[in-house]
Amino acid sequence: MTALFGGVYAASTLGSFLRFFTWGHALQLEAAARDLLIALAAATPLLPGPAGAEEVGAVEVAAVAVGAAGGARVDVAHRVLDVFEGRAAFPGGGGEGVAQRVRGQPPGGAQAGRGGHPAEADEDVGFGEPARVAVGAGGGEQRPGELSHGDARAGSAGGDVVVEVGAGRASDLAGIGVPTASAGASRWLTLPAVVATTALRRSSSP
Amino acid sequence: MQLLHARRAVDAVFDEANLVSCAGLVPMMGLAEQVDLAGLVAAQVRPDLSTGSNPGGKAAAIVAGMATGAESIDDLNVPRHGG
Repeated sequence: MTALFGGVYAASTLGSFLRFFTWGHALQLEAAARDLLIALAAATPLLPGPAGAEEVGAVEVAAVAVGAAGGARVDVAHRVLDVFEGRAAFPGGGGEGVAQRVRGQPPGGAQAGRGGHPAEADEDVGFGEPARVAVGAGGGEQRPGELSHGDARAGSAGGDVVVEVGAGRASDLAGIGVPTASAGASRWLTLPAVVATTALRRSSSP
Repeated sequence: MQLLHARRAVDAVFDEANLVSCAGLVPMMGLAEQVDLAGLVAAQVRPDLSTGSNPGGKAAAIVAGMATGAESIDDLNVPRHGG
């Protein structure tokens, strides 16, 4: 036996596979899920749109509870209210649009938003209007995972869905093959929604 | 010549052990295969135990099970046994 095999172990089951997961493995699986979403978006062109549909889509900046930087004066209720939910789904019709809403300015004041770039409070974007989302304009000063907090803005811009990314983030995105174009000091992305969402999330992963 | 045309009683039995009853899995997992679900998982998830071997295939199996309504590890028998 030992002459033939170096070792033997029983075939592992799905249960043992699931139980072996640590937090780090869960993050790895999340990364795989992002890759999968990109692949699915490429394989199934579900988002309708006019010509040049690649420049039209939706942007979702995931809801994130921002850790308020106001110290002890900021209570739990303020932290809850500081949740940023930026969601945009767009044009070309289709009933799958979701409400877009940015709740930026926390009750604790501007200092409660990390980075000091609070979003405009409670700005609603109507369905069918393009969105313009600025993410991480502060560039590399943000820690990973904080892309989607209060300094992101969604508004009606009369153009395509545009994602503005700080210089540090833009290089991250370029690193994973997301095209970027320089526009002055900041860089602009024009992406399909799903990819934009995924890319933003991906760039925020450690 | 057939004398009686009334329908006879019909029994339908589904007892083939090797069939998966959730036929909807076929197109869904076909799409998963097309986008290389297992490969993507295998490229990202790095198991450090023997129980984590072949993570791609297992993740795909779990996805299939969840698509059939599995909500627990035991429910993941669905794609193996049929619902």
